[in-house]
Amino acid sequence: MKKLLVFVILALVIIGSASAQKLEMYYYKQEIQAGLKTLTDAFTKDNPGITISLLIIPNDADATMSARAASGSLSEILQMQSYSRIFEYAQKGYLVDLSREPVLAKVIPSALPAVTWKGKQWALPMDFAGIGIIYNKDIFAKYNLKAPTTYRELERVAKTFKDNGVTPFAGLLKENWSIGHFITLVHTNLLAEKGIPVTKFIADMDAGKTSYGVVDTGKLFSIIDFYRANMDDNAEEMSWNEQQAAFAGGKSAMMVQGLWSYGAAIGTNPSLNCGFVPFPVFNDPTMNKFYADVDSTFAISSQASAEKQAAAKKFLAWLARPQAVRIWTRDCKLTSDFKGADLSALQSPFRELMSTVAKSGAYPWAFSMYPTAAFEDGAKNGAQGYVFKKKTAEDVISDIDRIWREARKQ
Amino acid sequence: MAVAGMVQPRWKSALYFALFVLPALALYGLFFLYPFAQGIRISFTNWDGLTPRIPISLPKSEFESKILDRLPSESDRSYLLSIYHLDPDDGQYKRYAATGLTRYRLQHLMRVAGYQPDQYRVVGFANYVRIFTGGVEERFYPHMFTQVNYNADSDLPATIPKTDFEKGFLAKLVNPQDRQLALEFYELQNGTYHLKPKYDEFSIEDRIWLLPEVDKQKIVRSEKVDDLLSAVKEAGLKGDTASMNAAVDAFVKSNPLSSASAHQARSAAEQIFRLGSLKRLLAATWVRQRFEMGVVGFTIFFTIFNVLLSNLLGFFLALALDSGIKSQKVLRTIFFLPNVLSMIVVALIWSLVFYNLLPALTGIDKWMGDPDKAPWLIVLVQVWQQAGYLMVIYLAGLSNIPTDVLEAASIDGTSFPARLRYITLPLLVPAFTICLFLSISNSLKSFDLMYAMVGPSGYALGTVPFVMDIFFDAFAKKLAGLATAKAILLFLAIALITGIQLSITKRREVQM
Repeated sequence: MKKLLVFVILALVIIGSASAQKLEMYYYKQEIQAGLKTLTDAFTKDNPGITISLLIIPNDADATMSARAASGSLSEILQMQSYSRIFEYAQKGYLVDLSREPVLAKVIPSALPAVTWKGKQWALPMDFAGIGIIYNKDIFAKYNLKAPTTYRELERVAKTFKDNGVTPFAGLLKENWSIGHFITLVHTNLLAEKGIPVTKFIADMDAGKTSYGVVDTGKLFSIIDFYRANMDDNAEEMSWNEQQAAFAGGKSAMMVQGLWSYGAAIGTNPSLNCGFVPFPVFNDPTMNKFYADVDSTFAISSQASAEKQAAAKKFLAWLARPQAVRIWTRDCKLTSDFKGADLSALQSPFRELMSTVAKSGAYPWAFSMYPTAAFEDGAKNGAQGYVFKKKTAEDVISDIDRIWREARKQ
Repeated sequence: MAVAGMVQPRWKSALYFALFVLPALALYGLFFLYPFAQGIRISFTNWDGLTPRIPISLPKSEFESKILDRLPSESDRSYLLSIYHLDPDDGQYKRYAATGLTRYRLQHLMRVAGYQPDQYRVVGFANYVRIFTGGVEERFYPHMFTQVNYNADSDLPATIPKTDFEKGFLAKLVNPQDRQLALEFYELQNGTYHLKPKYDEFSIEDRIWLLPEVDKQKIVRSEKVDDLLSAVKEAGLKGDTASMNAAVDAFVKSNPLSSASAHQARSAAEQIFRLGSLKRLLAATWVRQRFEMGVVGFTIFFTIFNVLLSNLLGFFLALALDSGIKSQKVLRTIFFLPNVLSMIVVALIWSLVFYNLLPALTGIDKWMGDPDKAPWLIVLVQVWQQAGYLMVIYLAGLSNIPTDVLEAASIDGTSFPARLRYITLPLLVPAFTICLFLSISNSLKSFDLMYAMVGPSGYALGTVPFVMDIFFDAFAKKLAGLATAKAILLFLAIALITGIQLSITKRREVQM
C-alpha cells in the first residue's frame, strides 16, 4: 500500500514537472527587480504551464555570464546589453536566432540594428535609454537660466552657477564607466561633425583603416577638460552614490547621466523637479541630439532544450501585449521598443527623451558597438586616466587604437 | 614489545585511512588538483573566456570536413550525430547544452579529430613569453610616465595651487621673459595662483559672442564665430600672427558688422591670441616625470608594508595585552573585532572616513582620490583589519612561554629588553612563522579590499593588485588564456616566497 502511494506521488511529480516548464531569467538591471517579478508573475498567470524564476547579477554581470556560458549553465532567458554583447554571444553560438519570430516584427525598425548580427536578429530590443544632461529645473529657475541648447549656452550656464557657488556638474570620477560614456558621447557627436556615420567608423576601425583620432581631438579633450573643471573639486573621490546625493540634494545643478540615474535621484528627493536635454557639443543647436539607443534586450540561450526554448519564445511574444508593455513602463519604469506602445505611464524626463528623439533623432550608442576591451579598457580607463593626469590626450587615442586592433585581431 | 600494545591493529589504521584520508584525497584531487591542471592547460591557450571548446553550432560543410570526417571510428561518428542535429533552416549542425560525461566524451572526440576553435587554440608558451617580455599593458610593470597637467587645447586653468605654480612651472622657466609672462597672467591670492579676470577666456570670447550682430540681430551665424575662435586659438598656439590677422579679416569681411563691432572683434581676437603664448608655455613646462609602481610594483609594495606593519602592530598589541593589563579580555575582543567584519563593510566604513571625516577634520580635500596617498591608505586599512588576527596568534604564542623561565630571568636581574631579546623572541618564532606565512600569502593574493575601495578607479590611481589585474584581463579584456598564465605565475611566486620564508623561520624555531 505504502509502496503504491510512493509510486503515485512520484508519478505525479514526474508528470507535473514534465508539463510545467521552469525557466530562469538572468538579468542585470537591479533597479527593475520588483517590476520584473510583477511581469513574470503576470506571464505565468496567462500561461499556467510556465514559471520563470529570476536570477540577478548586478555587478560585473558579463563576467558571471561568460563563466556560466563556458560551463554550459546559461539561464534560458538572458537580459543582455545591446550590440557587441549580443554579437559576441551570437558569434559563439550561445543565442537562438529570433529572426523568424513574429514578435520581432512588432519592434520599431530603428531598434533592430542593436540586435542584428550577420543579417539576423538575436535578441528582442526592450527599452530605449538616453544619456544627456539631467538638470534641476528649480536651480535653473532661481538663476533665471534656460536649459542649454548650444555649447556656448552650456558654458554660460556653468559660469553663472560657478560664480554663484553652485557646482555645475555633480562629479563622478571614482568609477570609470560614466566618464567612459562621456568620452564616447562627445566622440560620436564629433564624428557627425566630420560627416562620418558611426557604422562606417566602426567598420573602418575593425578593418584597421582609421584611428579614434579621426575626429577633432582638440575639441574632444577640451570638452572633457571643461566637464572636469565644472565638477566638484574632489570628483575623483565621488562614485555614483555621491553624485546622486550631490544632485538630489541641490548641491549641483546638473549631471551628465543616463535616465537610470533619474530614478535614484528622485528616490532620494521626491520633490526634485528635473528636465532632460542632450549634452550640447556644438553651437549649432540642430547638431545636438540625445546619445540614445536600445539599452537592454532579451535573448534566448541556444543551450536550453527545445521545449524550454519554445517556452521562452512564448514569453518574448507575450511581452508585446499591451498588458505587458504597461507593466514594463509603469513598474520597471523603462521605455518600450514596441511599435505604438502606450508610454503614458512613463515619468516626464522619459517622455522628454522619447519626444525629442522622435523629433530630431539621436546619436547611436557607439560604445556598445566597440569591441568590449576597447570600451572597458580603452575608453573607460583611458578617459579616467586622462582626468587623473595619468595619460595624455595622445596616449588615450593611441591606446584605444591599439586595444581595438588587438581585440579584432584575435 | 611493550610498545606494540600501544600500536593500533593494522586493520584499524587501514579503516581510518579509508574513512578519513581517502575521501579527503579524493576531494583534494577533484577540487584542487583537477582545476589546477585545467588552469595550466588554459594558460597555454589563447582562450577568450567565452568560446566553447566543443562548438555549439557549425555550418554543415565545416562540421563534416573538420570534425565528422576526421573521426576514424564509426561508433564515435554516430555518437557525435546523436548529440548534434542538422537545423534545416540555416544548414548548421547544432547541439544543446552538454554536461557531465557527454561533455568529456565530446572533448575527447574534438581532440581525436584535431579540432580547435580559433579562439581556443593551443599557443604554447606565448602567454608566458608575452608577460616576461613586456608584451602586456605598460601599467602591469613598474615604469616612468610623464604627467602632463595642462592640455593646450583647453582653457587656461582658473586656479593653480601655489606649489604647483612655483615649483612645477615658474622654477622651470629659464627665460626671464617667460617668467614675466606667467606672472602677468596669474597672481597669488590666499595661497593659490588665480588667473586674472581680464584673461578669462570665456569673458574675452563673450566680447564676440555678445556683439549685437551675433547675439541680438542674429545676422552672423554661430558657425562663423566658431570658425573664427578656433582659427585664432590655433594661431595663438603657434604664435602665428599672420594667420590670426587673416582669420579676423575674413570674419570682418564676410559678415555684416558695424565698424565698432569689427573693432571689438579684432581686439578680442588679439587678446585670445595672446593667451596662446602662455598656453603653449604651460602645456610644455608644467609636466612631471613620475614613477608608477604598476600592478607588479603595487603588489610588492602592498605586501612588504602590510606584512611589516600588521605583524609589528599585532606583536606589540599582544605584548601589551600579555603584560597583565586588567582589561585584557575586553581589549583583545576590541582589537580582534575588525577582523570579524567583511572586507566590503570595512571598505565602506573607511571610504566614509576618507570621504567625509578626514576632509572635515584636516581641511585636506583629497584622500583616496590622490594617487600619492591612495596606496598608503589601502595599506592602513588592511593593517587595521589584519593586525588583530595576528595579535591573537602572537598572544597564543606568548601564553605558551613558561612563566618560570621568565620569572627566573627577572629574579636574576635581566632587564625587560634583554628578556624580550633572549627569551621571548626565540620562543615566539613558531608564531612568527605562521603569522608571516599568513600575511605574506594573503597580501600577495589580496583582491577584495582594493576591489571594494577603489575598484573602478584602480588603474588611474595605480592601486591594482595582481589578482584584480587577472580578473580584469579575463573578464573585461576577454583574455582568459593570458589571465590564467598570470594566475599560474602568481601561484608560483607565492609558493616560492612563502617556501623561502618557511624554511628560514622554521630553522630558527627552538624546542623547549
